[in-house]
Amino acid sequence: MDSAAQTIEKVRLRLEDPDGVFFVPGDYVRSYNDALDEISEQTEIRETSVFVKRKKWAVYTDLRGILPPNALRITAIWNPASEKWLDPTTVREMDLSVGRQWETNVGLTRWWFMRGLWHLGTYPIASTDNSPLRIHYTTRLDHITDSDSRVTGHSSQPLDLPPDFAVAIENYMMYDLLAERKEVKKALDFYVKFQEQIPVLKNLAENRTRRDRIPRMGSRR
Amino acid sequence: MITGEGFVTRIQRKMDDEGEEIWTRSFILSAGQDGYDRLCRSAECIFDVEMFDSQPQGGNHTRDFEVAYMTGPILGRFNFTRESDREFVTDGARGPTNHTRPSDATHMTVTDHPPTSRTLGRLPSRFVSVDRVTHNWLRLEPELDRYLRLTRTDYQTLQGGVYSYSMDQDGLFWLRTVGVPVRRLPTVVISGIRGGIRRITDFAFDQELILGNYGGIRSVPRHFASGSQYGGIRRIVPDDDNTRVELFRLGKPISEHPFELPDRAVRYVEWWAMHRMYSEPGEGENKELAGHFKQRFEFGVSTIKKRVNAINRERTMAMGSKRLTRRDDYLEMFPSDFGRTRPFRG
Repeated sequence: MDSAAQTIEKVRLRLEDPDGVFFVPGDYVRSYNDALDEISEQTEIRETSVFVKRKKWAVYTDLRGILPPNALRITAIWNPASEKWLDPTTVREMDLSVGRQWETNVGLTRWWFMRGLWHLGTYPIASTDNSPLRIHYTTRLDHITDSDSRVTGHSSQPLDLPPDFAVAIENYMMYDLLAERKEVKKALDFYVKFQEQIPVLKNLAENRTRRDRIPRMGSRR
Repeated sequence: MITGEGFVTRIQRKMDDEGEEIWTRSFILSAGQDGYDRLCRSAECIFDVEMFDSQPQGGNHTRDFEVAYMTGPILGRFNFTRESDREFVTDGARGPTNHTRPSDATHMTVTDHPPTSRTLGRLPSRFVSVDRVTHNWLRLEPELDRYLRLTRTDYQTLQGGVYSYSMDQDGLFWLRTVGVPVRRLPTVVISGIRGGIRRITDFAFDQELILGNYGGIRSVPRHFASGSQYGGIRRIVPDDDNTRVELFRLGKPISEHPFELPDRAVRYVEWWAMHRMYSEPGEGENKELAGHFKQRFEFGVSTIKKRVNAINRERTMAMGSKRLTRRDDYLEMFPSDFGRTRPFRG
């Protein structure tokens, strides 16, 4: 895969703006980062985890300030106390299955649910302040900065992505910057090209391993 | 968290209009607020809780404008003092209230017509939808007003168990609990009307270890910090005998508060703002780009919706799969009222 510096240089040449008359370096960096965001959101190729402290007797943990701002979606939760993955559930299910006052049941946490984007609910609730959970989540790819060696060209270290992604990034940057220059027709053409690449990248991310075939009625394929 | 200022600056650079030659900062900010509200309303992504207590109603003024002239505690507004007066007052009148402080109720006998607790609760004006309501920890069923009128003639005044709620007949922001909660005398005496809570000796919280010597209380076990992530606690309403409303709301105004969205979702708002900017008649107008960014915003909203509901993707509802002690509850019971009654058509 091309380094960021190489991709930016290519885009600069294609935009016929080698001397930076219209765009400053910051524009290329912003556009490159937007492309990374777009790709990481649609493919969810990067996953990481964080430990979250919980307060005792609290059903909900506000994840604002705990999950980094580049987090996209929670995928799984690990309970180190029980050494088990929590099962996802919903509030409706808790109301119907556990019944009244389920919010006050204290014990080893086995289920989790989300309310909105930020509030993580767990059941049963923790009895102490020392009962953290490890949250696994998908996240955006790291942004590059102006002073990043990958941009200034001192290093040709490529991003840790498959080569197909470099073309997608290039197309997105062309779209973004041409739109800024009000060359609408060309910009939208590049956007179409970028969109056409997304299913390929999604497929690459989702099917990078063969799944064990365990036929099960009703299971997700 | 991205602030309104940072949001506008980024768009200005992106639109190559840092000198505000085409679009003013205030226009971009209002377009951003518009997109933010649309996104939150459509995706229902910001969760919050509103508590309604069951104190005896107390009133010490009869018109809203009087509040500005009051120096002491500001309790409720009241316009009639007995339930039997209700049929003689006009719409919008509040009551019945026949005393000026909740604690007065302890000195009244049954023959004094002691005040009831509130039947209605006011939701914040930025609420989007009510998701779940509980009273004394019991989940309440939402009911249609028509159904209530057909089945319980005295549902507006009958005191006792609270099993359902209705939002049909009292205006957009009012939630009615059915029946009227039994009044619950206040257990905490509040001294003063302003400021944060400094110390708690009720609700058995006095045994909690206090970290630090000064400052307001930031968190209390079992208490959901409503309204905002930061700041001190102003009032605690426990769930026992009171009503909890779990709702989704709009984000706070970006002119004063940062976005309550992940950074990525702020980009969607940016696309809506760009749609508005390109739609504006004048030098910057460009219908094609306006349509394009509108489409991208709509795609972003659908992404957020999916993300909010993504937990369902992690659930494995398969025959024979591990469900521990849980049951599959679908259609375990019929809906409470079988839907709205339809008119007879011959």
